[in-house]
Amino acid sequence: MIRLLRKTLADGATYNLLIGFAVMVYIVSILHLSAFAEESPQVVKILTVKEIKEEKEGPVTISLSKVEEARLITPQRIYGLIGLWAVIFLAIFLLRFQVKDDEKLYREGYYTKDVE
Amino acid sequence: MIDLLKAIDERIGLGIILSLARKKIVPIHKHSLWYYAGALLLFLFIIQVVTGAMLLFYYKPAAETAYQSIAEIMVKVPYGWLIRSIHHWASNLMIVLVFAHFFSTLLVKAYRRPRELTWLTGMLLLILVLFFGYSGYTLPYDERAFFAFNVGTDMAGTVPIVGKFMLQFLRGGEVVGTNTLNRFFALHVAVLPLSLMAVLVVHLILIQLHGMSIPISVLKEAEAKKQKIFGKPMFPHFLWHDAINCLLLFGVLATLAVFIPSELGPEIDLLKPAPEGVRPDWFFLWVYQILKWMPTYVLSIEGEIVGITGLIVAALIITLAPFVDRKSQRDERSPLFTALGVVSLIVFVVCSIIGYLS
Repeated sequence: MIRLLRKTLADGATYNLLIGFAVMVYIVSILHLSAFAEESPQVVKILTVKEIKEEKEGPVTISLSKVEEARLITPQRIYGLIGLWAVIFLAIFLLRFQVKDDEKLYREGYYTKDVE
Repeated sequence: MIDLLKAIDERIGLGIILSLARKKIVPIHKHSLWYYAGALLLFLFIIQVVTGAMLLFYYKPAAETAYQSIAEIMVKVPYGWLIRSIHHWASNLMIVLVFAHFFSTLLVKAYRRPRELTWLTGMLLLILVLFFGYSGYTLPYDERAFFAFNVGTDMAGTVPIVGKFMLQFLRGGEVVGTNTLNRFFALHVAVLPLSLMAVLVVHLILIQLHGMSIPISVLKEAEAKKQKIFGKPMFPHFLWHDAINCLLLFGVLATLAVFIPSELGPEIDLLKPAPEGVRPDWFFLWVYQILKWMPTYVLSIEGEIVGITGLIVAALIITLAPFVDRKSQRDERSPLFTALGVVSLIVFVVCSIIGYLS
């Protein structure tokens, strides 16, 4: 399979078409399955009194106080933020090596291109 | 992996793209810091596109549903509050950066020949970003948005000659309502992004073609010291710096989103009078304050019309700077345009602060 893929990518246009076709068939089959599942007969559902009441009352409106509650700072959000900053600092720490190497090249006169 | 890269190169000409990217040289001097603004703006735009697309799945653009759909995003949608807040803060930071980019370009006279078109496309981008901000501000259709619709479209209505047409076009009728919301939604999610992308592509191609501008002071200094100005290739060297800046910016965005999440004002009550201190969003406060200072009539012409006309004329002079500023075109210092840049910056900052505090 890998050899076929390599060969395909390297020189064969026919193989490209074949693989493209195979991928398309795969995607279509997945989409078809999901569409088929939606069209399949529904299982009989027993509605609870609460659900019937909700249906009668129409969509529930969300109050401004609920929105304000959603805006509150929670410990989970702080932990998430700390985690994000940790990942950012780690990435920057690694990128700094590249930048330092780059600065060294600059000092050694690697960049001799005159701009003006 | 090498085989794969070779195969891709053979098919799409990866080598040509890379050599083109390597060709771009970023000059290294004391003002090089300003060169980072463009990449940050591009990064913020990508964030806006991604988060905006996510919000689109839940936002319902009709007068009866818009407010509740935003409330649902905040309360019910998993991480909806975060996505909306990042979208909100990214738009604000984008406007801050676009103004910083504009003033720095104006002050270092980066519009000099042959970059006149780059400047003009940049000015167009600034206007588009401001409209983006304004149209986004109105979409929650809360009390604040309703009055922003009224104030903003009223302002557009005072523009000489085309004012009446603009007012009706933006409102979709005589008064603010569902049509207005639909029009602003269409502008925000289709017209403005497509226009911005088209202009952005031209702007980036022009930058690639002409390279980065070097301030006159740096050129003179190098000339006096008989030194050459060296530069680093944009790809991949400057890209590492851009990556670090973008990561930091993303951290700042997430922090702002967590500590100051996007707000939602009270629902519109058409029977209620306009609340005290109705103001536009911060980036239009300077315009609002200048118009507030205008007398009712100036030589029997409405003060608001005079104010708007004056602002349009000032904006036109700045837009046409590359064609008016002859000294800069000869790579000479032009104190008049430096003063114009400084005065514009002071007016923008001071009027915004006064507008906010008043």
